[in-house]
Amino acid sequence: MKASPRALAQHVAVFGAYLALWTAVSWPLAAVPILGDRVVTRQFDLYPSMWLVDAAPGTFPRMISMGSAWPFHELLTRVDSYVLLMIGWVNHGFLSGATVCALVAWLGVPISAFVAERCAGDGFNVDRPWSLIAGLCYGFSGVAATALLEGHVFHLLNPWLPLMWWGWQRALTADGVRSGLVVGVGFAGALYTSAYFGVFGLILLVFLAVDAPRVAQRVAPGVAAVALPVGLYYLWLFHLSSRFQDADATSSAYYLRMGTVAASDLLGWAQGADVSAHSLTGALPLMGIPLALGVVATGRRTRAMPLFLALFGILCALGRTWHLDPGDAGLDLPVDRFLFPALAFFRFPVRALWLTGLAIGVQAARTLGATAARAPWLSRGALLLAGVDAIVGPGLPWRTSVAVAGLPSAYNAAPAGQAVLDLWAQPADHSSGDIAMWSRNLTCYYAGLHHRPTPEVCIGTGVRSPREVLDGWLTQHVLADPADQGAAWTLTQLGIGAVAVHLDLYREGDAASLRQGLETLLGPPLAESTDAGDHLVVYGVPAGDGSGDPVAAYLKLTSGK
Amino acid sequence: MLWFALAFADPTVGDAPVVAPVASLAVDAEPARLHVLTISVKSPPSGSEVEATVFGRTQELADPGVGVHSATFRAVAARFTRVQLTVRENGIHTPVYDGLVPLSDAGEDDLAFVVTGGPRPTALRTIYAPSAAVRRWTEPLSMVRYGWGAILALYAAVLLIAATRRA
Repeated sequence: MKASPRALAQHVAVFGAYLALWTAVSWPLAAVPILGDRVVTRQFDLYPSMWLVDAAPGTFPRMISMGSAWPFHELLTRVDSYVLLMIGWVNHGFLSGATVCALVAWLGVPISAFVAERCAGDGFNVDRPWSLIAGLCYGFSGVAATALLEGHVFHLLNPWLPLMWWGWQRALTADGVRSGLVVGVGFAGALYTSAYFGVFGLILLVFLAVDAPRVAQRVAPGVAAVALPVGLYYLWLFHLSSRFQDADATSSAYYLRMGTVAASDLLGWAQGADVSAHSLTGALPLMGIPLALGVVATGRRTRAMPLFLALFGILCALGRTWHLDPGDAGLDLPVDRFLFPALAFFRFPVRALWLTGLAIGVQAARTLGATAARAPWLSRGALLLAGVDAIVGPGLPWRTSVAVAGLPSAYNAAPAGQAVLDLWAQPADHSSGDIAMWSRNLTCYYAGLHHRPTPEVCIGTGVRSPREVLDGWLTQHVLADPADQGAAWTLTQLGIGAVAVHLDLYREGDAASLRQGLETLLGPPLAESTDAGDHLVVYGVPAGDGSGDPVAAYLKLTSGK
Repeated sequence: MLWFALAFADPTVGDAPVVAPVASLAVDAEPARLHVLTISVKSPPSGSEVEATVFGRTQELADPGVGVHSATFRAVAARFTRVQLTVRENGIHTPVYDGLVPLSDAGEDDLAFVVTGGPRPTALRTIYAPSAAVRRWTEPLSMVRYGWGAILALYAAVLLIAATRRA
């Protein structure tokens, strides 16, 4: 079916409207490509995303990073997003990781909103402009704001879930197999964007199949033709766990608690979340909810499935302990002990609110489509208020902040082709894992820019990386006995060409002792810089004769023999 | 046993940020002997890049209450600063929080934190809600959120009633 020029112009206008609104609320995101050394984020997960894009040319399709986890290599089969990895590979260094991530975030939301709008418009026969509310509820949601502020930019390019639903609805009037193929492509896109979205896609399929088993029979061959092979391939990749993963039940519980929201967080953003809770909020579309519930009153033939889907997402987001407010004591679910083993792997259930936003958006669009004929001006007002709510609810204009990007210039003094060992201060009381994550993510981001191997592991959270092991060993050594040159010899055997100390996070006295010890061991620093948001001092390691075996040296060091 | 909770808030957003507890501390001391707490925040200097000034004033434990304290971090091209909160009690420093606070590059970030204290853990929540200081910080935003939601729900109700009546 060929779209008429008029329809095409309407599509462009709708996409342009979403793009304009997103450009305004996420500003200065759209300007990142020309800002140069600035990025839009509040937390630390944008840095590994930028690393992934920068490192992609050397890692895809082998799925092995030779530049991280030195002296080993790092398997990337549990990478956060294969879609981002492939985008990075296509980019192949043409644009910087910062620019690519900004473009994904900037264009991702209007693309996602547009497909959600088409899901309501074409899939459910809702006329424009009433179908626009579906895009507002889905693309401009609280979890979308969280994705931007946390740095999970690949979450924002998520047209896949509405594409699945749209394909399913088309099966009512069009060929079942072809529609099923569309559903399958949507599932594959969701799965390879993020494992979370793959699970949500599966949940969406279950809800749709239970609601309409006859449609399920018609689309099943098409869905299976795409979803089965890509799903099985994904599972095969996923089971290849990294050797450095060190997740246990305690850390899973920590992340699961962090990855949920309180009931009050569903009403809007809270600034405290940006300071101490990883920007995790889940503002729901407050105009969409009453409209979605009101679809019953419009007399439209409707099913309760979307409302159950929305409720399912909300229950997931509240987690295993329900809080009315982030500060209160909380109520443990009685089924907690049964649910937790299954949920432990599902660390950020708040992301299920993507399903909620989609379900609310589609239902709200149907309501507005029905009320438009009888109360056109009030319906226009509701659409306008939904647009205002998309700004006020997630609160992005008040929350976005610009952070420094770029490479500290002292790295340039490190010998090319040899690994750089980054030293970071350790937290005094381990009350939070944030310092370790900041250290890991920035180390990888820098390695993607200076193109020298790093002992840091760049994928995963519960990780014990070679960098942390070497950091602890070297710090202890230079503070205790810096005159013993054995450590310098070991560094040479490990293939380390330079030691980079990030001084900002050390206590003043510790920093002075560390500098003195490193100068005794390695001599005066090669370079020192305070640009790119980091106070960095780089020390050179004596060059070896090339006969050393870094892996053997590492194993010898860690085994203590 | 005395309990204290520390909470960060970011006053850069109007007058009404929501606070979120980030650390708590149990001090094993007799309430009557602990007359004054001094809360200090420090951020290690990085050359001239990050400086921190502050800080907290006192808590009279006979009347456990809430103190809103503030710190200003001057950040020139720094991604974050490491903040260490220390409770000084009769000259003894006890670290209660050690973490990172991301900074914008605006040149200066204001950070405020709320200190609550009481004779036992349950008292934390008791004094949390009615405290004038905390209410000043949290209630306006909550009211805005609830109020905005109520307005939208009311509008939707009017729309639906109008549409069904004309059907």
